[in-house]
Amino acid sequence: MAIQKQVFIYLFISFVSVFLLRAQNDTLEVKELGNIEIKGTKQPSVVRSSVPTQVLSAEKIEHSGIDYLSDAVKRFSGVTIRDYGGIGGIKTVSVRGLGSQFSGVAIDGIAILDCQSGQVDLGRYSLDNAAYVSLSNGQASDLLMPARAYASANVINIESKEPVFEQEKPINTKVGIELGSFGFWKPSISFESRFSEKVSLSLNASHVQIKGNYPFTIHYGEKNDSTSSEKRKNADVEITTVDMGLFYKITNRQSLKIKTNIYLSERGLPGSVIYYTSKTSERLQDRTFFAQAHYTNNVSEKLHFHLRAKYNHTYTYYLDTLVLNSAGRTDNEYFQHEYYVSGTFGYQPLKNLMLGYSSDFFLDKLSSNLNNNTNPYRNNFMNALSVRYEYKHLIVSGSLLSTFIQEYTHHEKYKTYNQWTPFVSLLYKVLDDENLYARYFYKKSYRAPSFNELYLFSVTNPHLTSEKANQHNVGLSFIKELPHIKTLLTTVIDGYYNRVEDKIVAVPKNLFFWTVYNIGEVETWGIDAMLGTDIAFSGNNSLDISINYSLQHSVDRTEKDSKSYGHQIPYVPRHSGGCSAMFKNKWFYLTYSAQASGKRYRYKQNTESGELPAYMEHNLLLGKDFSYKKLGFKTSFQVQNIFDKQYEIVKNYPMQGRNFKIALEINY
Amino acid sequence: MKKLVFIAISALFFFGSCNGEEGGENQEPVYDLGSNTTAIYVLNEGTFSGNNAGLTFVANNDEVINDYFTKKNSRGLGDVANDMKLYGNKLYIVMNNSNTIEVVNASTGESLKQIPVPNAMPRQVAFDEGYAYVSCYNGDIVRIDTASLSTSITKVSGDNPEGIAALNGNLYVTNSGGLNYPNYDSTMSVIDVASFTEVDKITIGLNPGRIIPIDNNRILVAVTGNYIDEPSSLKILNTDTKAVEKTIAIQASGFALYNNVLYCYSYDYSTMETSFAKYDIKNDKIDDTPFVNDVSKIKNPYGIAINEVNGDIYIMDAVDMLGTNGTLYCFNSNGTLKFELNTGILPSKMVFLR
Repeated sequence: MAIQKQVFIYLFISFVSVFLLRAQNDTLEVKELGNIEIKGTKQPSVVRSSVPTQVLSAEKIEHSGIDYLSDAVKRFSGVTIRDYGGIGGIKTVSVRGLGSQFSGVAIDGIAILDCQSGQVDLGRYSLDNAAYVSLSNGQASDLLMPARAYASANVINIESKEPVFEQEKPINTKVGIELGSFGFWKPSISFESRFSEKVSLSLNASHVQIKGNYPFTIHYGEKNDSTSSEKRKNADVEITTVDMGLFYKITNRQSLKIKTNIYLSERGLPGSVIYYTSKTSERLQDRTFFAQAHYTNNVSEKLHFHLRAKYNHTYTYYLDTLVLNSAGRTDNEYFQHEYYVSGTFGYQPLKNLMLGYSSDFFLDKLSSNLNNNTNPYRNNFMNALSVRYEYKHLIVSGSLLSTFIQEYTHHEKYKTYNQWTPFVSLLYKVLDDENLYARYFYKKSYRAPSFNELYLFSVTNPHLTSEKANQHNVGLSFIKELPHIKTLLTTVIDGYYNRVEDKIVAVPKNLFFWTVYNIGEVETWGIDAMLGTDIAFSGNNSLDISINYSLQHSVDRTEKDSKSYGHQIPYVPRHSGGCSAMFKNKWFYLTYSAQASGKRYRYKQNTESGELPAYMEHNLLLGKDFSYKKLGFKTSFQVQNIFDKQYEIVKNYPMQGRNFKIALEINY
Repeated sequence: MKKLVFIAISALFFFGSCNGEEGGENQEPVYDLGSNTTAIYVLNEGTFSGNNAGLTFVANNDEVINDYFTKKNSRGLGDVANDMKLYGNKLYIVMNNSNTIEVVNASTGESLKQIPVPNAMPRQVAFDEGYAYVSCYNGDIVRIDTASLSTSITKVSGDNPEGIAALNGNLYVTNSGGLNYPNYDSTMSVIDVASFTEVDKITIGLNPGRIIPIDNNRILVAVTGNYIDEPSSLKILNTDTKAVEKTIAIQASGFALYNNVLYCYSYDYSTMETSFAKYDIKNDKIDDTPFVNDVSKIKNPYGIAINEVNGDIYIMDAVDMLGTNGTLYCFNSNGTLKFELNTGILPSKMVFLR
């Protein structure tokens, strides 16, 4: 009985949010429908949005067996993931031909950053407790977001679930176990408690362990040349995660959310496959702790205030026990700290005019035990002014972000960055009686060099400055309900043009010495298209199909007579896409999904020998949710890479072949 | 709605078909290597962890063949080819990151033996009286019988052996200490060939590298320095007195010896500029006028070789260090450009077949 009620409430929320699309403002109002208070997390709109927005709901995440943020983002268009294989391999994202450091990643709207590399490993973030995952090109359409959210060229956000309690049940508990190929097992536990009408707590913990010794084939030449069968070695991973959330509804207008998270991992680094030799001596240890708080005050219907704060500490330890130096090993330790605070005001002087102002400050510090450690740190000051104006069928939005960064090394001021990030967008409802929208946006954004690029290389370039990206996008979005065939149809298509200047390129001199320059120029034009249909059949059957396709024509425009001018940039496929079909009835649900990528090139010069072939990976998941007495059960069986396709995303880092996973969750 | 979908799908097809194929096939050019030269091999180092080291082969007045080793052996050379030298009719290719030494039949391009040296990181090869000697970063010196291809190993006491040369019954091995940045080694080990053991150690300079014999009792040692305050230099050591006779004030990234003249090139990674200089050993004179024309064409010189029969100067250009195919330039002895051709990634060494 319990499960069916939850499912009903969830479905109700999903349908209601679709109907609400037609006539609501994006995020300001809290709607109450009769006696049912919607206490779920509202997803951003995909159709009524002035910027391309893609969303994966909790249901889709759970029913497709998507475990980590990297798996979710792979299914969005315009996204290229650099995946180094297996659970332990690092996974970074590049959107629309822009480098990975141009993408902002956030949890509940508050940014995550690795100031050392400037990019985020998406494979670390588990979606066990996610309400949804979204990707917005340009920036999200929320005038109450922190200033930092205006800085990136695109933003990926994980929104956490808030605990939902039934009437007479103040405690929810969940115990889960997953078992899978290559020695994978994952026990997890979750505890939610409603202390009072105003305060609730959620606690989640999980432990992942995998041997990761999956088989793969080495090709020593071209298609018909010699091969050998190998197994991935030194690929074991162990991860422990503990997540805590505190939700305090102070008054009807004020609320406070606090989240803390501990992430501990130890893994082997199998490294790239090298012919005729194998290296199994590298290990990596990671410890991250972060705590973030979000205070909301809806002062009046017209005035809103948000206060956010975050502290993050990351410790990384890299060990290599087979180095031919006099110590016989390498021990590198890195310490990162981030302190962040943000205040945001939203003011709606008129019904159709909204203003926002946000001010952020954050300090990023890096230190290490390396010879060339310079203890760099940055004071970042960000201030954003935003406006949204609605007139009949048109919504015009604009924002201007000022970024001022003071950078110190050896405790002395070394350089400053002063950047202005403008953004403008238009959303136009084309027809009176249809949900057909046309949109346009322009944004200029920057990405400052990372600490790695500035200081870890032995020959520092004091003139190194930020990369710049100019983005233009035009698009059409459409959603229609076809009640006679019980179908909800959504389709979105966007065409875009991006140009990156002063791209940071690291040139190796030899093993230890690199020099880094702003010498690159990249031009990208592309198309992102999506089609989704949600069909309800008789007898509680439903079928949810979605297809997406991306065209990314992303080329080097650095030097006219170079060998790589006009060549596709490394690792960005010209064509890519995916599809998923989720069938559900009252006994089980079955999800099929597939991702495909066209050929890619390893180097800036596109040569036949540097070509990585196209690939397609198919996945299938069969699940059943049921209840027995007072307990709820969720079971599922999953096959990933059904056809055992041997492929690589990054050259010499083979991906897993066919693998299985079985999961059981009991909740009360 | 239907019209919209139609437009959308047409747009997809239109844009999707816009990736044209690269240019069509032309008649392949042939290359004149000069008289008395049968063919050349160029060693392409490949990128680190790239598994893309290779050989470029050009027979006289014939077309260039890239990926030559893979074509002849159905497998790649491996990762980071550090050295290649010809002895008799065999090519000895030192594969630094794959930990192997390939012995190749120079006429056919087929590998006679792949010698594994696990975890040794082999660097360079030298020859003496029917034996090949390979220096390895782990301190091993591998001796290969060039007839039977059997091996034996001795050890030197310095850090990260790099350069190796044979002269008068001795092997000279520079201990670079390259993996101990910034605490480089400054010594050179002397190995007695007959007993195949280390008999002496000489201090030569910070981070010493390549060694070539220049006459019957002198060797030239390239001292790399520490890239910061100790610049690179070239030193001439007298093997009888074991003393440094001369320090040549040229900062060479690479060099080749021909008719007692040292042809040097230098590439500055911060300014991205190339320069050339010649050193007359007999008369102790530096000439820094470029000995080739079209210097501006060369983006990132990575190797130099001179054809001893006709004085042709070959410059191997890495172009960039980011996986782009390199270029081989051939200039005649007057410095006029004869031809250029595309090689594999990071061309660095050459041999001439007569």
